[in-house]
Amino acid sequence: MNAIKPMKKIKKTIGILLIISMGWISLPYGHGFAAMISTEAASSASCGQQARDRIKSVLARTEVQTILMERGINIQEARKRISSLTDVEAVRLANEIDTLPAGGDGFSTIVIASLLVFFVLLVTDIAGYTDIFPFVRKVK
Amino acid sequence: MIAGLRFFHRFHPAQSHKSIRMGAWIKTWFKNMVVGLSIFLLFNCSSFKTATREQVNNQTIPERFEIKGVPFFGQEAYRCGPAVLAMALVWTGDRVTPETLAPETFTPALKGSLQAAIIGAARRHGRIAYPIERADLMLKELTAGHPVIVLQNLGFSWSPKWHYSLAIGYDLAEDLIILHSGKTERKLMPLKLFEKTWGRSGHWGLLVLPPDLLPATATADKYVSSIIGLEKAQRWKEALKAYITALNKWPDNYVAQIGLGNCYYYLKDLKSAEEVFKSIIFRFPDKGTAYNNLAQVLLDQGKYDAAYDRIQMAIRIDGAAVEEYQRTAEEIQAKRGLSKH
Repeated sequence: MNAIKPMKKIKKTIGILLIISMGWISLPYGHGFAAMISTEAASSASCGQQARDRIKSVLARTEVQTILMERGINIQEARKRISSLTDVEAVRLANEIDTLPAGGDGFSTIVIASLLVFFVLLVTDIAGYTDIFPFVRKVK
Repeated sequence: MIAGLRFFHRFHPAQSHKSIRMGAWIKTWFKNMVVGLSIFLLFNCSSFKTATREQVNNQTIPERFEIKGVPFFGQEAYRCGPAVLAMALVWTGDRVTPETLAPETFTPALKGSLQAAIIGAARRHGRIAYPIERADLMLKELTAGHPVIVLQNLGFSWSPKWHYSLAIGYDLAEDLIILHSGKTERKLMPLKLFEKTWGRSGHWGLLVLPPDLLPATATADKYVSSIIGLEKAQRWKEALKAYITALNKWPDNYVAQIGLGNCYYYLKDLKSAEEVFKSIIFRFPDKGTAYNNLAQVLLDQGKYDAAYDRIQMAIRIDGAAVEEYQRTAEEIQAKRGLSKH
């Protein structure tokens, strides 16, 4: 029994040391860095906003609007839905539009318009705002 | 347009919502594939040629150019990654050798170095790792005197032989690119062959630059996100320098200003951090991040009341990150309480 005692003592000491050190970390100093908002977080939020602005500027083009209206889509409504895209979604859609060949020909306009229709409407369809794609089951 | 296809999959409703039945899932998938494929095919048929030569013809760059004095290390078996990164780092003034870099970059099981490891190692050495993904951008960087790391597939797409080289120059009259590659210093490779082998890696290229040197083709977003990489490697001093470099070029860049303030904070220069965040608030009064971070800076200096005022402002004006602001507010109150005892 006596042989175990020093072991217990060591364990106890280590335990107390651990309690103190952990308390030290979690008390005044530990919180310090947690409350700073990282540059990365600030960046993704502002990128999302930029992306939404870019998509809206595409939507503002009359030839794109014509195509959307031909398909029975309300421009005001589309604009509102772009605002509701998450940062990640908005950035992906904006990048997608940006990587299309830039030429002002009718073809790329149609493609851009279809991208808008497809993503803006599909994404919001899933969220249950619209019912354009009948194969999507809505959130109820 | 492959990226386009991936995008279609990313927004797959089945991934976003569980209540879609299997049948609908397949239908949706099929529909996505058809739309994606048709767009892909259309673009493939239209003139989508991005050959180096064509891009080159439109550029106003000298017909031949070579960066002089770029160091060369001959590679050992499979170790082109460490060798090429060592050349680039020594060129930026860092004293390394392929041997000292190998543990950071080389993965023995793969007999090679992953791109992410090359990028990570460059950042751990306090250098900006800036991606270059097009031939015209690469040529412009070369004429600015910046060597470019490129990943080539010297084999076939179905039996790849990956290889890193360092591009240091070109000669358009002879249709050649000049590379430090493998065991060969100043290897001359026909431009056409280079374009093919580089194209097989999706034109993966990388600039490794000291933080006070801006890429010749830099765009604000890309450059700032490469500085965020330096922050992730906790190279605050170099990140700070790079943010100053960025703000010299784009003084109104919001993210770079936040980054500058954060770097001062992590370098424990609270006075400078305070100044930066105050000036951001002045310029961008409707964004909460600077209020929050200023509150933290004030808190660290024991200015509890001022900190509390700022965080209340953040909560009032910016709804997006309100939970984080609440946490900061709680922390301020907790510390204010402690200080009174």
